[in-house]
Parts: sequence; C-alpha cells; structure tokens
Amino acid sequence: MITVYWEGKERHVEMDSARVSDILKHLGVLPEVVIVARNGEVVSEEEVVRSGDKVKIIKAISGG
Amino acid sequence: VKCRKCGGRAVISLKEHKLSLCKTHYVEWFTDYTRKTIVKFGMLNHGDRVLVAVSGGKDSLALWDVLNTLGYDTIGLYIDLGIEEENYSGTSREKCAAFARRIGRELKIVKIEDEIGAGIPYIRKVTRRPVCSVCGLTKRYYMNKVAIETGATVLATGHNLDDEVSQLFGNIMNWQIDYLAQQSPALPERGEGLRKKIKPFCYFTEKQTLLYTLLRNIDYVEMDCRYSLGATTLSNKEIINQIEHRSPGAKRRFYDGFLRNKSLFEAMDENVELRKCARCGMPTVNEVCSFCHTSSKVTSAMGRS
Repeated sequence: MITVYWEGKERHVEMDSARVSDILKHLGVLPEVVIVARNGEVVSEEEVVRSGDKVKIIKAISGG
Repeated sequence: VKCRKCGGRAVISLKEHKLSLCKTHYVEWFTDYTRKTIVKFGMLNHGDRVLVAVSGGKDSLALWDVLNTLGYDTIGLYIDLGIEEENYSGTSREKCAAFARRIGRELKIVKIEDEIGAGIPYIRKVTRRPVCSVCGLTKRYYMNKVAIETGATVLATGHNLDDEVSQLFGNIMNWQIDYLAQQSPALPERGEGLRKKIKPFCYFTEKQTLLYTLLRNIDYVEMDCRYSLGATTLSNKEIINQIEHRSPGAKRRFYDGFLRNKSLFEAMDENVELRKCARCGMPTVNEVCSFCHTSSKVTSAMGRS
C-alpha cells in the first residue's frame, strides 16, 4: 500500500509498486501542474514508488 | 531517467527542451535560462537597480533569489493588502521578511491600511469592483510609486509562462486589443513616471518555478488567497494545461507566436498620452488616476460609517 498526501488529505493506493506518473493518472492529476516528493525527496514522474513509501503531491498552480 | 549533464538521478524531464536534469544541474540550468531571457528581451543592464515585487509565493521569491544570484542590485517590495482570513497577509509578509534576511537584502513593506485607511476586503465592498481588479490596481499603483521613491530603474515581477498564457488566453477570448498590445515580457519606461516592467520568468512553467523553489529550500506561502479561488485565471490555467498534456510545448508555442505577432495588436491600439494625476502626481490617462478615485471612495465611505 502506498500512502499519498494530496490536497490536504491522506489517501491509500492499493498497489505494490507503481510509476509516479501512474499514481497521478490514478488520481486524475496532470503531471504538468504538480511536483511529487517520495519520502521527502523530489522525484521525476518516471520514478517507481513502492509499498510503504510516502508520496506527497505538491500543487504548482496558483491564482497569482 | 538520468541527468544529461552528469548521469545522476534526474528530478525533472523538460520535454519542451528535450532535457532531463538532476537537482544541482536543474538549479544551474534555471538560473542560466533566466539570464538568457533577461538578455533576449533586453530586460536589465548591470547598472540597474531592480525593485522585485514579492508576495510570499514561490514565483516572486524564486525570482528575487535568482536575480540576487546573478548579481543584480535588488530591493524587495511587499504590499500588505490587509487580507486577514487565515492570516494570509501576515503569513505572506513574514515569509518575505524571512527571505530578505536570508539573502541580506532590504525589503520595503507598504501596508494598504496605513496608506488609505482600509485593506482590500473593505475597498472591494465600497467600490463594488471584482476583488482581483481592486487588488491589481492597488498593487500596480504602489509597485510603480515605490520604484520611483526608492530610485529603482526597473520593476520585476514573478509572472511565469502559465500566468502569461492564461492572461493571453483571457484577453483573446474577450478580444481586449488594448490589453493584448500592452502584454509584454518587458515594458519600457514611459513618460516621466512609469518605470520599466519586466517578467524574467515568462518562459518558465509554474511547475518549473516550484521545483526551483523546493530545491533551493525557499520557504513560501503554499495557501491560495481565498479571493482567487474560482477566479478565471485558475480555470484558464486548468484548460491550458490539459492542452499542454496532450501537446507538450503548446504553451510556449502559443506565447512565442503571440510575441512574434504582437505588432498587429500594437498597430490597432490607440497610443494614449500619459499625464500626471492632479492629486498624487502618478502617471494616468485621466485627470485623476483610478487609484485616487478608489482611495477617495474609501475615505468618504469611512467618514459616513
């Protein structure tokens, strides 16, 4: 199980491992508008996340 | 994916540049790309004193950081709009002050409530104008005024590619020729009182500025201004990024295409003469500037209450 923090909420994704891009797709989030951190480290969308990892999705778009 | 420069682990793949970079080389690339943008649009000379308008958000603090790294003479400006909900203005001001201390530069703070007696929420109520319009008017007025007062020759803002494309999209949707004629990465100084304005981040996406901010450990305000929620700018950005997702590089092509053809809009626009506002002396097209009109409405409303 992968723990994902997004929009102030904690979610659990039932996957053993997945690419960051697949998690974003699963949540319906465009990779163009976020940065993802795995266990506190910024990673690219091509990186793999495994069960037990904590993933934080940080929003890039603001109202300005 | 590996960094093209060193073979280390890449943190981003820049599809439009066909480039993958690690943390160190991304920060280096970002700084150098800003320098190239400054040169491309003739934004700055090394004798310039730059007033950087900072909001506490990622883009403006990142811009101040990069200009400082590039060796420019900078001074920050924070405009306290008096938005008390969730202590938005207070938190933003503190983030700007902390960043100014970190880089050892001066930060000017203008508190709107001290200037005209009330903050943005009250001004919005009195004028009945959309809040983003009141906010924009107030910020533009003080950015230019403080630039003059501090002897700054150029005013820099952290607008990024998403901001620029979203604004362009909105202006085209409404065919606002005058706004299209005036939208530019570098607006020259005009008349006696309108300072040069530049947007050195106009080619970076919001994702790219966020990544730079995170990698440089810049503490920024993550929450959105509550008044911006539901704003057209945000929905435009959503639409534009869906297009970008299907067609990488679409935002940049749209923006570059506009810059190449901007003269068409300039030719259609009436070049109005600027004069000094009869009350405050700042440049305006009318006898009294819009800000003075707004400010006097606030003063009379406060006198009545």
